[in-house]
Amino acid sequence: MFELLCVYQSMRLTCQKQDVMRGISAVLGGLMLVAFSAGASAPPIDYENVGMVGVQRVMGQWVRYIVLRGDSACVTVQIFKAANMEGLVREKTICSLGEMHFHRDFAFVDVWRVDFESDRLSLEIEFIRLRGSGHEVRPCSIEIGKGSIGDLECSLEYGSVYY
Amino acid sequence: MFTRVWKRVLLTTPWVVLCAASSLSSSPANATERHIDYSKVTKADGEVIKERYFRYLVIADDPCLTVQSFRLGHPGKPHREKFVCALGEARFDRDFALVDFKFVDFHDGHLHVEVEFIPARRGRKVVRWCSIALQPDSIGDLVCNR
Repeated sequence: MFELLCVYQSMRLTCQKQDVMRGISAVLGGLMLVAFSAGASAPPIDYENVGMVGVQRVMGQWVRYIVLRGDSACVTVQIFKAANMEGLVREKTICSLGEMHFHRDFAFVDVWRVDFESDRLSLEIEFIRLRGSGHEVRPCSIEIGKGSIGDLECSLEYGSVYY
Repeated sequence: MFTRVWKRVLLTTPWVVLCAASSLSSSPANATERHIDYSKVTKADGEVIKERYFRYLVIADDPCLTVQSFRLGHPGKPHREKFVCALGEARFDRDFALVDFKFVDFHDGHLHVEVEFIPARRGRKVVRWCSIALQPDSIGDLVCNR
């Protein structure tokens, strides 16, 4: 009788252990899913770390640019319905010039100035190349359309490619 | 009877004084613990002046101009922070219909601000050039020329 009870108890323990393991694996699976899905979308903007911000009405919509503090910071452009930064229509974070990524393909990238024009943002950006000497300050632009944000375009020659 | 009252006064007075002191001392702390909705920032820029990084912020739906200073290499928490919400005795939220910080720029250890004031009651809108002195350990008041 005692032996039977022991077998029953050990079976119950094994089952409980299996349940716990299943639970842990389910939680881990869920966490991985959350991590991967988060990685797929753009990371949230660290608004507390803003370095340069400007807002203006462009083509009947409110356009805001954000450059965070820090090395080789990206440029975020947003389009809002309202002047009080409510009703986000479009958002684009630009960290590259063509195929050239700010962090990977340049030693340093620094946005010096951003101005609004009737259909675009005009920027002045300093590029320091990974190899070679000196730095280049180039005029650049980002086109703004009705609910659309273009790519960064600069008059910069890198290797044999002209951006 | 008199002794009993005197005893009660002696017992309660320290508590009253303590409460009054704590409420007085908590006022400035509350003033600095003002919530900033950074996601609604509409204008911002920063500059290093005398070993401090100074930053100004204009926030949508907030009548004040926020000025912060950071120790170099410590960008997380402001070393000094000031909410410029008045010009002398005139408060932006009470005495003006609109206060618009049209142009803000750092120059010569100061924050220069072009401000448009629209009075709450009578009077026409006025555009004034103003400035805020920036020192390593202090952020000055808004001073405007006549």
